[in-house]
Amino acid sequence: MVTSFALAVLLFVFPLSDNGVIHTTAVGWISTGGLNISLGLYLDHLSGLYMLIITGIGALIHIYSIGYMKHDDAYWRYFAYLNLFLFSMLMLVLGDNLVCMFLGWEGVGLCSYLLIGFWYKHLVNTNAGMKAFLVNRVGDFGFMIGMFLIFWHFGSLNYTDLFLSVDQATAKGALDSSLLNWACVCMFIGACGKSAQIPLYVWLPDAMAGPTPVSALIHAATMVTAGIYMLARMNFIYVHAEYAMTVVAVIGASTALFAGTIGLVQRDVKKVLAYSTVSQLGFMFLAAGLGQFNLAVFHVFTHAFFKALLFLGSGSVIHSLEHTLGHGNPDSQDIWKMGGLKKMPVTCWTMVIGSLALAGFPLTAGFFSKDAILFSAFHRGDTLGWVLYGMGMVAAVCTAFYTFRMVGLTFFGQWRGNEAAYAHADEAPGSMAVPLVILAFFALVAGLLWLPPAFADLHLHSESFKTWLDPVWAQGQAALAADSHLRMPQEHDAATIAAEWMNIAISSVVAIVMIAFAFSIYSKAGNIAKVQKLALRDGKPTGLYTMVLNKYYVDELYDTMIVRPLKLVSDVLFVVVDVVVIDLILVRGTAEVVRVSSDLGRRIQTGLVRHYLYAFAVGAVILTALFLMIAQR
Amino acid sequence: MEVLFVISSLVSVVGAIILLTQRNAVYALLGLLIAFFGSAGIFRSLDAPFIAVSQILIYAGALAVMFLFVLMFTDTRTQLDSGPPPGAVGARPNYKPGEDRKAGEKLIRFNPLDHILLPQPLAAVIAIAFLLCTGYAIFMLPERYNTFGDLPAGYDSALFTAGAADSGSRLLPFGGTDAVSKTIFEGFPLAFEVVSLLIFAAVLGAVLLARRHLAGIPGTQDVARAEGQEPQEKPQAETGHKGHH
Amino acid sequence: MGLLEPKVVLMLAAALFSAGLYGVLSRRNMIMILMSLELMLNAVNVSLVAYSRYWAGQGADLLGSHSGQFFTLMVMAVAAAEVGIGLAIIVAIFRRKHTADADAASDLKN
Repeated sequence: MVTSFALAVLLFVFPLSDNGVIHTTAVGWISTGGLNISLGLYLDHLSGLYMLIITGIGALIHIYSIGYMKHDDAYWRYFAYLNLFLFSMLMLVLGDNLVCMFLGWEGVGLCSYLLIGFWYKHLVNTNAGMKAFLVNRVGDFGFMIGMFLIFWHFGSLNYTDLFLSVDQATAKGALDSSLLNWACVCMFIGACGKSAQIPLYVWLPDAMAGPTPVSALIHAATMVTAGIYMLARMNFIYVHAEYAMTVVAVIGASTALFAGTIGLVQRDVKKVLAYSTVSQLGFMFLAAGLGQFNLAVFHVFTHAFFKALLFLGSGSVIHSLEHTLGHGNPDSQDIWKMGGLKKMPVTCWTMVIGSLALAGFPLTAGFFSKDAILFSAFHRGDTLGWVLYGMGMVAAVCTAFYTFRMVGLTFFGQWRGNEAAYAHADEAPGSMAVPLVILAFFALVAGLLWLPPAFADLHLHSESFKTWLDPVWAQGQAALAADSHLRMPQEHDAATIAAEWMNIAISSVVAIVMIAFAFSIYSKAGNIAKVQKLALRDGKPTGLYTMVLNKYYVDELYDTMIVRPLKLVSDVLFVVVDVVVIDLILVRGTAEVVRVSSDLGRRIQTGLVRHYLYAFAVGAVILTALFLMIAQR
Repeated sequence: MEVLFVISSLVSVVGAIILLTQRNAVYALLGLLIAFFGSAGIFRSLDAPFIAVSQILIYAGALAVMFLFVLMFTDTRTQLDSGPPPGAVGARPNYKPGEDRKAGEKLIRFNPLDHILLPQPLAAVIAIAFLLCTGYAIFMLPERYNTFGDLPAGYDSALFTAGAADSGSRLLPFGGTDAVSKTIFEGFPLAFEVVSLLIFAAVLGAVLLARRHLAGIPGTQDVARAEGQEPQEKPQAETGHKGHH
Repeated sequence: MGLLEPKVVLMLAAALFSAGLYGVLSRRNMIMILMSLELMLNAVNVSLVAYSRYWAGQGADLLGSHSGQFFTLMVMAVAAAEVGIGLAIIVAIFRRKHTADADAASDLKN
């Protein structure tokens, strides 16, 4: 993995540095009629960046897993799945057409399923795996419909062909915008499944049943950002579908807010992080929906570092507690039964850094990317922009709060759980600590690759990330009218800069205040008790708190509306089709016919080989004679 | 060549007759051997020297020896088909060669028919019917099958065509080792490899089928024990197997 | 019209084949059945070689004219494999039944 990362860096630095695109076609795959699909690789600035994230974080997580999975029985199976995942993810990112992307898309889905149900001896884990798989299937269906629509409209699925056709169609004004809107919405449904957006987000929190490094790699850093990749890759089509973009933005913002509020009350450290992932993915889609693909990918980039870091840190905590509590014990993930774990200094302080980045503490990686997204919503200027900005801001508030609720409960204050576990909670081994430190470094500085334009006032200028990715958006942006909402800002006037400073100030203050607030409550035993008294009445949760605690009953809603009726239908079908038609008539009936006829046929079987030989020879002679007679005609 | 063909076809027909009529399996095998040699002569007369040599090596050499070996091994040389043909002179039920001596008498007479099988009517009818069918088919072949025609001077080794050699390439004579091997390795390499695999599988199968029971290895058979043979039926075999118990 | 011509050779092959067929049908000893089978295969070889020679005379190229001989070699290889397996089966049956009678191997009856 380290080698492949090195190779990826080489590929990234050398051929791509001069605006180049590497495009190779390996073999033809499907070729029927107008459909020509080949297995080809397409490496440009966007896929190059993704490749770096995948191989880089993947390498760190492999190192981490050596320590984390050391005592697992299925050590080899784990790494086999993990590498299959990385292959599929690279296939997804590097494929030169939508079908190759879909191949990788399904591949990562499969690996995700396998890894969520990795400890398959517990029913909960396998159920979580199945849930992820099924929910993803819903999304994949949308993806496929979108793919068909695009093929129908443009006659090809290759990116290079699509670039050309879209350009030509735009020039002729022959773009069917309603069809494009539908295609983009359908493909966005696919992205919803993979990237856990409303209404298909329900699988991601359950996916935390898998090993923690898997959660870090697949369910935080790479796979779940595949949806963003798809949107960014198809940006030149999405910019022509304004309604679809609005849908994307609204769904993204609502997911950010919705998941952020659920994250406030979770007890399981991994669930907190899972909802925060959903929420951050919502931010990314918000950016993409606003036409700021650049920012979406930038947030993917920074998020990959700090979220992987947070997951790995929580994994380190879980790992050390599991020594005493036993593997799979839910107590090892319950933040209410932790506290004072700052005795694990590396884990503790890297987690704090990651949390600062997630919460958007000024000058950390998450601050720059999230702030820029909020500002782009604000800058849109119309009502929708304001609404989105408001939702994003509230989500950011929630993020800061629950992140430091988690940090305070886990690492500070008094230990609230099993004493023996606390005594044996030791710092992670080297193979686990090193990736933490590396990721923490990037979580701090990754944002510096693209400072807000406002910082130019301070003579701080850094836009290397933006300039790097600009060629990817060039085509889509060129086709847009100058006044389109989906146009990325090129220059900033004084008013914009001022607004930007204001925005930076607001979000910094909000972040710092919320961090301080959450931390002050949850790192002191007395304050925790007060909060609990507020939320619980007679030891039971009340009102809104109940509702949020139960995740707004979305799982129950799906259960009643989709799962139960399906079960009923399948029960009926089972009785009618399976038991009666198939079992009774087809299976038993066939067997009976065979039995009766063979009972008759048995009587000719003398068991003497020579009789068979005679029959065989007579048959051969008759056939020869028949052939001759036919030939005579 | 025609003389060779006539002689060798007569030889192979004689061999076939011996094979079909001899009661003693070893004599019959000898007939088969004669028929094989006759076929080798036919191949040679049809300008296929390589096949002729292979015929002798494989059939007359390897296969015949294998048959002979199994005949010795199973001791069925005169069993079965050795029952006296109905109506033969001196016919006795359950005839076994040497039985005469065992009874204390001298071997009084030698009746050559005792060693010959009489024809089996049903089998003969079927075989003759088949011969008639194929003979008719051959008879109906078009005119051009009336002659073999002249052999080309040779085959271009590079172009796979007959007689069209450039100055650079070599002429391969028909039926020679080089022409046949070129056919095998450039024309049908896959079939060749598959056949090698088949023979490998056959070797494995033969070893597995024919070996005796090996302690602790499933799939190998201890026949006498599995059948629960009565000792009096075949005392030697039983004692032979007792060692394994 | 001489004797060395396709129809005569094919007729000879048919005769040998029928002779083999008769042997297969009339014998009870499995070893003898196998021998007769070899005679049938050999007859097929004769016809294959005759076709090979015929196509050479018709001006076929190297591959076309030699494929008959190639198939002859294939038949030989398959025959060798078949005899090996067949004899092994006969040995195995002989161990069990103490006879090479084809009619004795009727355990699968009914």
